[in-house]
Amino acid sequence: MKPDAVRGHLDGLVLAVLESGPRHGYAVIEALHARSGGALDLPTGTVYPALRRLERAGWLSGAWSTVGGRERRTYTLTRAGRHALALQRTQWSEFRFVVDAVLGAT
Amino acid sequence: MTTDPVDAHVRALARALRGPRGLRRSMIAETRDGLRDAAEAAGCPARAVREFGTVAELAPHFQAELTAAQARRTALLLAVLFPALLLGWNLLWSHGVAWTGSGPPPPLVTALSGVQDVASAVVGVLAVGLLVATARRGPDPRRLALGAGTVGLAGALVCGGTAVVMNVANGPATLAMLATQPLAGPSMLLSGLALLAVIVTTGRALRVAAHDPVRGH
Repeated sequence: MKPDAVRGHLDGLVLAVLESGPRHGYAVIEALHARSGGALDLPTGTVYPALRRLERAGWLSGAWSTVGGRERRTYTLTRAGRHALALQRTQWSEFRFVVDAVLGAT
Repeated sequence: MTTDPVDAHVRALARALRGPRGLRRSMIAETRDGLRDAAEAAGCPARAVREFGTVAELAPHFQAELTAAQARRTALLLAVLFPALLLGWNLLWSHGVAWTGSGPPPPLVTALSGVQDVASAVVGVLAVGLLVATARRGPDPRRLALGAGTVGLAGALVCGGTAVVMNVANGPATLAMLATQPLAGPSMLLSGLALLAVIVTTGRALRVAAHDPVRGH
């Protein structure tokens, strides 16, 4: 899946992988890779500013901590982030339904 | 000088970015750690760097966050300082730190005083709007930084300019106020420093808004 196709959905995908618990940036990238079966072909570095953008919107909270002897910034989904994720899922379902109907999916 | 591809790549990214120093350092440190993790997992730093993205691909995304942060701190400063100056001077005025002497001030001074009050209030309201906008993902951070920079600079020039003209036009009464009211001089100095802080901060916001992280200016 090409970066242009992913770009508009990256924020929602990041929120989704943080739903199960806090992760640091590289763990988010790994989770995106694992969940997509490696099909998400985007420059992995774009995940870091996406995390900051979501933090700025109040959907994630980020904090530095020491993990495995290394300083890492760990992100946690906030209550507002959970609402945003639920909304994105609803919007995606509606979008998929409409596109399937037009494309004639079986 | 190290030739580690991870360090070299992160340094190149850092060089392309402008904005608040603390956030820039924090983002770069996080990115370096993440890229090191990726390099260790891949067993090949060059491959990890390739998958990470080029500076041209990444810098606009990082710069957007730095620009938003610069816009936010500028808007916050304006939202606090302009209403504080307005309220502070009204408070001083009502406690006797005012022009003394014979008769009312010249009409020009009265008119400029009104202009200053309205300008301060308008800057305060616009700054709160910009502050709220910086907490949203949608608005273009460059526009927000440009907006905060322009509003703040215009506010500082209008308020500073009217203050100078008012005090010069009402010169004898200003001198009498400075001579008889011990709070008048420090208050004027403090107001001048506040407007200077606004000019410095808005200058930064305008420079960051104009910065193109890919072309380097």
